[in-house]
Amino acid sequence: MTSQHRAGPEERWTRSAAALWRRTFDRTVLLDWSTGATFNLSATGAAIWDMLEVPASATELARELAPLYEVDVATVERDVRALLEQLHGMQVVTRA
Amino acid sequence: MSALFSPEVLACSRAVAATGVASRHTFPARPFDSWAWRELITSSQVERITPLLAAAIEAGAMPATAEQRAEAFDLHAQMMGICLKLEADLLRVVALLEAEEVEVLVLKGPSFARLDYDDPALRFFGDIDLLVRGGDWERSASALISAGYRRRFAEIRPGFDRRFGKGVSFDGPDLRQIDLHRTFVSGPFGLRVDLPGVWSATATFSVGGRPFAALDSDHRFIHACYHAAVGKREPLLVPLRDVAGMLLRSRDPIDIGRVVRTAEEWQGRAVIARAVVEATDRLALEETALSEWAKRYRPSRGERRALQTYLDPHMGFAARSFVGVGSVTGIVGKARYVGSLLFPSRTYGGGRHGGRSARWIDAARQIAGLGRHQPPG
Repeated sequence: MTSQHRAGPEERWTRSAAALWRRTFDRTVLLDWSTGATFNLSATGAAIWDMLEVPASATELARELAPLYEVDVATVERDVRALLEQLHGMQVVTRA
Repeated sequence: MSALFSPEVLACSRAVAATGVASRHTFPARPFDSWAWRELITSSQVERITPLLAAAIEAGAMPATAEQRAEAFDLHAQMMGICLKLEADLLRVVALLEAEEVEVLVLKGPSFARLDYDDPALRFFGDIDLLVRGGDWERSASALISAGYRRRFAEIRPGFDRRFGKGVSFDGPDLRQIDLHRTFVSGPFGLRVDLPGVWSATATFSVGGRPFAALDSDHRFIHACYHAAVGKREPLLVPLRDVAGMLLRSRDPIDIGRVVRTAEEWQGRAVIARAVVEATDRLALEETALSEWAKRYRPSRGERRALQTYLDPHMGFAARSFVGVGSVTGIVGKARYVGSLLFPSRTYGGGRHGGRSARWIDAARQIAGLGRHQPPG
């Protein structure tokens, strides 16, 4: 899961095949492979996880989400990028 | 278990367990008060149906206050967290066994969740069950012990598990449980399972990006019936729901003729009949060809005697094991089997049953009493 890639604005991400997760009725529960603990994604996080079924960049994800939450794309993109880095640290997403 | 809960909570638990299958059970008209709700939450955890409770609430079938809904969803997420940790164990343990060239079939929990439920988030499991061949038994157990797993109980005698045992529970370093099986259940019904036959055709499911082998759909149904009918004296609702889901689904339907023929070869038709009748009655299912057969089925004297060793509260593992002697093939096999039961290792049974001799004296008394007690159900 280590990478020699440099983080860039157009990097595309997708779920890792090794990810263990369950979609419940109000969240997505993930296994954090780096610690062995579980992690809950609710609302927007769960929506991002759903969208990562196919590869997408932070910008693409933000453009989809911003109108839904009536927030500007730049703000959403910053949050999306932070979440993607966190999920990458958990070894549940991978660069496509 | 049923004595612990009020009739309204018991009825509701059964309706919850039947979520997703055609059932005549109905839900209450209004949310439960806080007392009944606490009982329902406890019942759902004992019966392992909390995911189905969350599904019933989400679907609007089970009325719930906002707080009740949030609590059920939180518990569901916690239970799924346990399943994910167990799936991580599954990946590690199967890799460990494959490194020893041991072939594994995944039983029950993870395979039922992935292959027999519409969504794996609807099926909780609390341990991992793996089937290995008798010839691989010692290598498998050694590999687990080398990886830090501990046997819960000592072997009756060296070689007993490999030849005659149901399996052994191991506690992992983090105290999560792996059950290594040689067959489906202990005692006479487990000894009659055609083990080479269950390995001959398998199904595949995926966890964490890698494939795992499981029993094929008919053998999964038979195993679900064995687990429901003789796994515990009073079956939990989740194994009955497993049986119901497999029985009623239209996708990948079970082959009823093959199931009954297989059960006949294994002298286990009474087990299938009991599981199907229990599932149909307790979950108020629509009748099927198999449930009509099950209700008509009359077990032979031998089947009744075997069933009694699982269901009679006066019977224990030792009595069940002795009754199993008739199912062991060959004179040498019978002699080894009986010898193991009569002369267990010194390490076996001391802390568990008050000493070796006391255990077998109790068993002899139980067998002498066979037929005097009526099995429940």
